[in-house]
Amino acid sequence: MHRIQIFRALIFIFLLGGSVAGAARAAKVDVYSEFQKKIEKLETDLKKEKDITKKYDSFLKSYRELSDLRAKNPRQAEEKELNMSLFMDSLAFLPEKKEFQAKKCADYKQEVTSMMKSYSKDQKEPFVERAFKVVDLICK
Amino acid sequence: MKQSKASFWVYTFCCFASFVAFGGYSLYYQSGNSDYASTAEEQVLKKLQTVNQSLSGMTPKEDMSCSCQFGDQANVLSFEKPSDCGPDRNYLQDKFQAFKKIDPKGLYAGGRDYSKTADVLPRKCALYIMKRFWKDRALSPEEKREADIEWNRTAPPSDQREVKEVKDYRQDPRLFSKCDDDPNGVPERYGHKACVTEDYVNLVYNSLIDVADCLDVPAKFIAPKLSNESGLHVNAFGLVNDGGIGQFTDQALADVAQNYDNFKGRITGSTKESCQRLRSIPGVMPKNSKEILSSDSNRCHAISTPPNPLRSLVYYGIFYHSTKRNSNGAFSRSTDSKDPNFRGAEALMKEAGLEGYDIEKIKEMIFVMAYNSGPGRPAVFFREWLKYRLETIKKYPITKADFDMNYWPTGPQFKAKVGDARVQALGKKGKPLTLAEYLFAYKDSVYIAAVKAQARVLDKGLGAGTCTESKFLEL
Repeated sequence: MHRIQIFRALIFIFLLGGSVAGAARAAKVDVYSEFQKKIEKLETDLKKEKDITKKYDSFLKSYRELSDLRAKNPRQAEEKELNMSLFMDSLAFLPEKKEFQAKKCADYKQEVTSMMKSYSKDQKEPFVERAFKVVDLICK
Repeated sequence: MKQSKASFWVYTFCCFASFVAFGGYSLYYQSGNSDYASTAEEQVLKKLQTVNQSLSGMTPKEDMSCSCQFGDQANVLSFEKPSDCGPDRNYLQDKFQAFKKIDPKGLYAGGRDYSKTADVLPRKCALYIMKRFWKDRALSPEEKREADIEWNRTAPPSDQREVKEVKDYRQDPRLFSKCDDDPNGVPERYGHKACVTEDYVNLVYNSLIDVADCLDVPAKFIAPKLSNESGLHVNAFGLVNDGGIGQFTDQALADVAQNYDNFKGRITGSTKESCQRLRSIPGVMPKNSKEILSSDSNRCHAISTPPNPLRSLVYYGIFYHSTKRNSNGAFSRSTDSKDPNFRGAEALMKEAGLEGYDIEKIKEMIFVMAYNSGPGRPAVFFREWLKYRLETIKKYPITKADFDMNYWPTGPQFKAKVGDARVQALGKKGKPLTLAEYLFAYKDSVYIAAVKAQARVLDKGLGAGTCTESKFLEL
């Protein structure tokens, strides 16, 4: 009887350990893929929305979520980190909510472009281009 | 015997007097070092020279020494003569004549007293950079094969070159241009460097020195960069349509246009002689930013002479200041009101224990990279490198060696794909990458290292600090 209890306990621990590891594996976030999904969602939302103030609210919410996603998870591979930072940093040149004015959209666009565009045409940065697209969608 | 003794003393006196008047004068000015006259005797010699010069009206002899060899001439720089260059390299001569017509006083097309600006940047720096840049002639595959055969005729057996089939040789890129058809049109690519005559060097040097003075651009800071990009050639034409002495692309010219109205006043409102000279040459100063033609199809706007290289250098002065301002702004950004998780470069440096490091020197590196990558991106790369280094900071603290730009990847490292394959090729065995290695491995950029390499070349050829700032791109 005593042996059976020990055996049952061992099986329980084994199963529990396995399920915890499985849960941990499931909780591990693919930050880069999540980051891109959130950008896609933002782009879709911006395309649907007509009101520029609501568009900007939507952008600010996503921007914050993107930042939190990175902050709450471990550092990713360098190329992924660089891409994500290039996207975030390009949009960092946009103003905060209380300063945002729809009539100044062309100026914002120019600011983001002149800061983040390369002088050399052979330096392609898809995530900078993607940020430019987000600015376009906000200002459209 | 008596007579010969007297003639001996007369001879000795004459020798001494000649030395004081001419010998010491040459000795001082050929030294190329303003601190040369340090002893009492040398100071006396210097005063004598000054008196001698003021009496005779002579200008000091210009130091043209170098640790270099061009053709048969070793250790001295000399101008090329049109007769040395042949018809295929004399294609700018008529343009220089045209420049003289719009500059009848010879403010740019003529010579000056170059001792006056030797401290800013000696004229020989321009001559050296222009002669050293790329090749005098772009060779065809046939010419390259012939050159190898010719080489093997005189080279020892241990130094023979492999003579391949013509198809196995590559045509040299054509990195110069002509703008004969339309001074604001599309440049015609051309393979041969313009003859580096004294007129040509004077035009470039006078323009560079005046723009540096008028717009407060440090000539020794920009010399290695210009040496890397255009070799100070008015008609340099890079492979991505970057044109002229400033190697302007459409985006860079758009930035100049954006900032032109703010900077124009610095030139038009200045009482500096250099600014007065600049604005006296027609075509140098556009009336407004709309006259700055940035499209690739108008690249001759920044190449054709006259009024280039003057116009292109004025644009360069504006570009220098606007890029520096924006690059420093991106570097110094410490917060993002939309993102509470943002950490700026200075906060990350503090976390990495770099508080004692010269932040201005680091900003200088980022600014130099901004010339090429735009003002915003290099600061992002730097912050990411700091975050990457923070991951292993306890085991591998950051040292000055992490900022060493005396770096150049090997051929196989260049061939490796950007990213982890390059890191593998660098063979660091788990040790973290330096800033230069990180930029190369992940961003395929060796721009800062390339400009640093040009500074080393200038220091080696003409003496440390002659054409460069001290501790340029190093901590």
